[in-house]
Amino acid sequence: MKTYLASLNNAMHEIMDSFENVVVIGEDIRDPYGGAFKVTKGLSKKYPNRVLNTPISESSIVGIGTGLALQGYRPIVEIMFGDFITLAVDQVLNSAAKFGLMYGDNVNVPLIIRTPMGGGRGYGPTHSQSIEKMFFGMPGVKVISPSLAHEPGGLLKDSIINEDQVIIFVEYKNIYNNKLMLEGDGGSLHRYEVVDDKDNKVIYVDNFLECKPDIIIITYGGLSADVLRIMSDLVEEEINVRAIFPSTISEMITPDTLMPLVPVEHGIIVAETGAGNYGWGAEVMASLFEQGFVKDNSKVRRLSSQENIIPASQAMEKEVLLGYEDIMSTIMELMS
Amino acid sequence: MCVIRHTEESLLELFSKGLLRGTVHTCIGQEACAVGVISALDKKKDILFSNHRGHGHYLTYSDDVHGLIAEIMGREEGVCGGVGGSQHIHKNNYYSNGIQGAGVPIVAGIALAEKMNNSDAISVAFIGDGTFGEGVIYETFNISALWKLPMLVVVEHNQYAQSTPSYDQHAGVLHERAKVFGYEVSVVDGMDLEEVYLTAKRVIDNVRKEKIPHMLFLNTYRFAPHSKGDDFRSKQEIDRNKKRDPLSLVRDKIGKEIFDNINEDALSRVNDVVAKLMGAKH
Amino acid sequence: MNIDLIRVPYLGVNDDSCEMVNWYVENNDGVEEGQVIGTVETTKAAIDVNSNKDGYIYLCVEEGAELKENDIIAVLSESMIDESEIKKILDDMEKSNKNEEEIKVTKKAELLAKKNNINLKELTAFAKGNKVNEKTVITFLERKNSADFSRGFCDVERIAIIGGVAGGGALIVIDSILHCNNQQAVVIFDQNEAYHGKSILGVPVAGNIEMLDEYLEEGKVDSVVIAFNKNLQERAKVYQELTDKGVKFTNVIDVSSNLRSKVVIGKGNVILGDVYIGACSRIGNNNFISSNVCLEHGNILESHCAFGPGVITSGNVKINDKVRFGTGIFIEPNVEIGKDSIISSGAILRESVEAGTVVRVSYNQEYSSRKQK
Ligand SMILES: Cc1ncc(C[n+]2csc(CCOP(=O)(O)OP(=O)(O)O)c2C)c(N)n1
Ligand SMILES: [Mg+2]
Repeated sequence: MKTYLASLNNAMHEIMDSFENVVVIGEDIRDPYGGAFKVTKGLSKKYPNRVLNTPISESSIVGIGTGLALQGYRPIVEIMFGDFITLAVDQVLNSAAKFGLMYGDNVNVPLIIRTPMGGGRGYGPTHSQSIEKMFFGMPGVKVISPSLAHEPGGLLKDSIINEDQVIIFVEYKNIYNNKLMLEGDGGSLHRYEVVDDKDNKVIYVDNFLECKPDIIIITYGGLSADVLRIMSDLVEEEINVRAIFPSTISEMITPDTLMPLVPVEHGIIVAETGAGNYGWGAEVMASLFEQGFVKDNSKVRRLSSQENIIPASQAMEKEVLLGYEDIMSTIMELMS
Repeated sequence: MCVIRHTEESLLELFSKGLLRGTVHTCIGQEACAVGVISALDKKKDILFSNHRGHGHYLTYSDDVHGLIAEIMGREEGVCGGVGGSQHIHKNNYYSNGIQGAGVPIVAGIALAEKMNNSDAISVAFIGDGTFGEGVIYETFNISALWKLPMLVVVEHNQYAQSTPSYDQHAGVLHERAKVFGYEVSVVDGMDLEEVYLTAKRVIDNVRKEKIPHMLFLNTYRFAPHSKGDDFRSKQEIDRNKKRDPLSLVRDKIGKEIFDNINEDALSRVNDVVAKLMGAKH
Repeated sequence: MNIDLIRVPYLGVNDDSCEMVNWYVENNDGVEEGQVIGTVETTKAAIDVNSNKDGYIYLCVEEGAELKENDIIAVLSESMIDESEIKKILDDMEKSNKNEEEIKVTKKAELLAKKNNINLKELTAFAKGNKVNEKTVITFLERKNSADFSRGFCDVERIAIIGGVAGGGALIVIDSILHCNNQQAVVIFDQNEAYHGKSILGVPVAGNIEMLDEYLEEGKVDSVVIAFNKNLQERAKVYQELTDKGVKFTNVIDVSSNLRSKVVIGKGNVILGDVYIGACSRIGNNNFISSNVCLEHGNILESHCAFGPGVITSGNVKINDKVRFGTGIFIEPNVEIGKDSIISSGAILRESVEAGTVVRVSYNQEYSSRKQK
C-alpha cells in the first residue's frame, strides 16, 4: 500500500541516491525521529553528511538553502509546519526568488522548500492553516501541491530534475496516511494525465466512462481525498463527476488543459482548503470566465473554508474547513 | 505542582485512549519552573506570555483545571471555547501561542506599554532552550536592554527541542548569550522549587524596581515525550533525571505526610474534573 | 445457529485505520464474554478487542492485516461450527446486508423525477423491483408522455378574456380562439354586472376583473387578453397593471390571418380573420386588429391601438401608441401617425399626422330611395 507519505519518503531516498548534490535540511529531520511527519525518515542513516538538523531557525534554513543553491547544490529544505513559513518569507521573496531574476539571468536558485499545510488534525490555529496563497503571484516562485491522484514523489523528483527556481512544495498533512489513487484504489474511477506547456501536471479523474460529466470539480492538495471519496460514492448514484487536480497551483491553468471542461452538463465547482477571499479559487474562476469556458454564472460555485482561523476542537475545525459534506451538497444543489 | 502533574498525566491517558487529538506538550518534570516563577509574580498586574508547553504556567496562574482540560478536549466550556486547544490559551493577563520565539518581542511591547503607563507591572516571556534558534529573540534582547524594559525572560532549559538535543543545535553557552546585550542572567536549578521561587522573587522585585530586563535561566528536564508521540531518549537518561523529580524533592522537604495529603487532594480534584467532563460527553 | 460478528472497535478521534497486531485465541477456542481476544494498534494507541458474549471464535483476518474501523475481524458462534462454513456465513451476511442497503433509486434518477414532477412510487412500480436509474426515468417519461398524448392528456393554453361583451369584442376574440388548436377561452371578466352568469359561445362571463386573481391562484387560467377596444386609455392601463403584477398576456391570432416573412409580434395582441401583415413589419403589444385589416410590409405598429375592419396601409407606415381607427381607411406609404390620434372611417391619409389629432372626413353622401315612385 503506497501512501502519500510513503511516496514522498521513497522519492526523497531516490533523489538522494541519484543526486549527490542534494542536501536536506530542516528541524528534527534526522533519524530516528525522521521529521515531524516522517517524510525524511531513513535519510540521515544513509547520508549522515547531507541531512542536517537545524536549530529552530526558519529564516536561516531558507537563507542557508539559498546559499547552497548559489554554490551548485540542490537543497531541499523542510519547514516543519506550513504556518511557520511566514518566518522565512523575507528570505524567499527578497532574496531567493529575486536572485534568479535581478542578476540578468546569470544566477539560478534551484531551492525546494517542502512544507505541510492544512488542518484536520486538531493542532490548532498556528499549526493548521493553508497559507500557500501568500506565494501566488510572487515572481520567481512556483508553488506545487500534489493531490492523491498524483504521484507526489514523482512531482518532487520532477522538481529536482526540471526546475531551476524556488519551489514551494506544499504537502497536505491531512492526507499523509491516505492511499494514493494510483495504487488501484481507484475502483470505478478513471485517471488521465495531461502536462501543459508550463509543466503543470494536471490529473483528470472521471467516475464514468463515455458520457458527459454532470459536474466538474477543480481543486488541489488535501481536498482530493474528499473529492475522490465523493466521486466513488456518486458512481452508484449515476452522477458523473470529473475532478481536475492541477499540480502547479501558482500558474493559471492553460486553455489546453481546460478543454475537457467544455461539455459539462450541470456545473463547475472550484474548491480550495484555504480561506477563499483573494484566493486560488478566485483566480481560477476569473480565468474560466476570461477564457470563455463559463458564460452562465448560475452554473459555477466557488467553495473554500470559512474566513477564519482553524480552531483546535474537532467539531469547530470541521465546521471551518471545507469538506465532504459541503462539496456534496453543492453538487446536489447544482444538479437540481 | 501536584495538580499540574495529575492534570497532565490524565491528559496523556485521555490521548492514548483516543479521546483527545492534536498536540499535548506536557511539562511533566518541569513543574517547579512554572510554580516557582509564577508564584513570585503579582498575578493581578503582571503579564505572562507562555509557549507551547504552557499547561503548568496556566494552571499556576489560574488554578483553572476544568477550563484547561475542557479546552484541550475541544469543549465549548474550555477557557478559549475550544478554539485554541493546548497551545493557544488566554485568560486575563495570561497568553500563550504556538510559534517559537514570537512571544518575546510581544512581551517587550507589553513592557514598553507598562513603562509608558508608569505602572510597576512587569511582563514575562517563557521560552525553551530550542527557541534560542530564532533570530527575533536576539533583536528583542537588544532593544529591551537598550530601552530598559521591565521584562523577564524565563528560559526552561530542558536540554531538548523536540527530538534534537541542545548540544546538537547550539554553539557556545546558552546562558551567556543575553549577557552581551546587557541582560543580567540568573542560572538556577529548575528542579528545586524553593530555589526557583526565591531567586524568582528576588529577580522580579529587582525588575520591578529598576525597570531593566532580566533572564531567569532554569535547568530542567521533561520526563514525558515532546508531545504525545515518540521519544528517542534513552531510558537510562530519563530514569537518571527522574531521580530528581521536582515533586519528590518537595516531598523530601515538607515531609511525606503533608505531601501525600496535598497529592491526594490534587488527584481527586483532577479526577473529578475529568469524570465530570467525560460524563458530559456529547 | 446464533452467530455474532466481531468488528474493529472505535479507534478514537485521531485514526480510522489500524493493524491487527495480536490474536490471543485460535479457531474453535471457547471464549467468555468480555475476554480480550486480540489487539489492534493505530499509530497512537493499542486497543483491545473483546468478545461480546460466550461462544466459539473463528478468526477472519490474520495478524498484520491493515484494517479500518468497523471491519469484520472474527465470527463468534454459540455452537462449534466447521471452519469451512465461515466463509459461507460471511458471504450470506454480506449478501443480505447488500440487499438491504442497495439503493433503490439513484440520486440522479431522484433529481430527474423531482424536476419532472414524477412521484417516486410510480417509478418504483414502473421499475418492477429493479433499481430506478436515469434510464428508468427517461423511459418512464417517454412512455407516459406518448401514452398521455395519444389519449389527449395534454395541455392547451387557457385564456381569460377581459371586457368587450357589450361591443362584441369578446365574441370575435372567442370566435377566433375557437378556431385555434392549442388555445381555449375559459372565462370572461366584464365590469357590467348585467352580463354576469351568461355565456358567449359557451364561455361564461364569471364576474368582475377582480376575480382574475382567484383564477390565477387556483391555476385555472394561463394567460389573458383584452377584448374591449373603444377606450384605449383604459386598455393601456389594464395592460400595464396586469403586466406589472406578473400576469401573462397572450396573442390571439386567427388561423385565417396571413403573417408574412419576419413579422415580429409582441404580447396581448388580437389579430382577427383575414388580416394581412406584410413582411418585416413589427407589432408591439396589446393591439386589437379587426378582420380584413392589411398592414403592408415594413410597418411599425406600436402598442394599444385598435383597428376597425378593412383598414389598409401601404408600405413603411408608422403608427404610434393608442391610435384608434374606424372602418375602411387607406393610408399612403411612409405616413406616420402620432399617438393618441383618432382616424375616422373612410379617411385616406396621404401625409403624416401629429400626436393627438382627430381626422374627420367631411363628405356628402346622400341616401335616396330607389323605390319607384
Ligand atoms: C516557529 C516555530 N518553529 C517550529 C516549531 C515546532 N516546534 C514546536 S516545539 C519545538 C521545540 C521547542 O523546543 P524548546 O524551545 O526547547 O522547548 P521545549 O519543547 O523543549 O519545551 C518545535 C521545533 C514551532 N512551534 N514554531
Ligand atoms: Mg527544550
